Amino acid sequence: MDGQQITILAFGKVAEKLGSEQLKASGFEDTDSLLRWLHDRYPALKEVDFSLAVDRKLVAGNTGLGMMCEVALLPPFSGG
Amino acid sequence: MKAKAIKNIFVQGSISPELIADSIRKHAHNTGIGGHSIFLGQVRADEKPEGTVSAIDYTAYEDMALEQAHQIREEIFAKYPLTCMHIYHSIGLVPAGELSLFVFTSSVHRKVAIDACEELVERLKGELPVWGREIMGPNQYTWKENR
Repeated sequence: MDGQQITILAFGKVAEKLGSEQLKASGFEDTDSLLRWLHDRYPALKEVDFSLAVDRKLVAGNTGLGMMCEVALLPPFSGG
Repeated sequence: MKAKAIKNIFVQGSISPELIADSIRKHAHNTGIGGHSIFLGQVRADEKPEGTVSAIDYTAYEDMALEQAHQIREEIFAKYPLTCMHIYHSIGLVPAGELSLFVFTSSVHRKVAIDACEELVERLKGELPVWGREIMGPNQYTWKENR
């Protein structure tokens, strides 16, 4: 996946654990491999519950990542 | 059919009672409406182990939240014969006692407006990527959890 551009967005408690609201990554063909890399790099991630959105859609289970994509790490919603 | 534009639902800071009054007033010309239903979410000064909540600071994944709100709006319109539907949600700081959510549905008869309003509020609270940070003091906060 040469030249792939993944923008990782983190919100709420997840952003705190990462110490960042936005990261860049490349070379991941699916969400499972990206999550393994994130967990290795940010061990504090396992302390928080979060779901994943790819290109602004919630995904359940492993999902393929395109050349340009936006992956968001979303803690439980608490609007309203 | 032309796709409807995605509406912004976010208001910076608290939702003013004047905005709500204006919104009600704007429906006066629509004499086909027989019932409105309004839900107003207000920030509670909860007592927490860390202190009393003085405000909630809302953040959102805005692009996704607007797409989700649009989708929910379309689905509620498809399910209920509504005349109008309006959604406002705060972003940023809302002090305790002030309003952070305003949902407004109108229909020919009350039952549809009430049922649609209730379902809309539940879906917005459960499906919008929005987060509230409950502020207790200068360096004290917890992340809000919805029930």
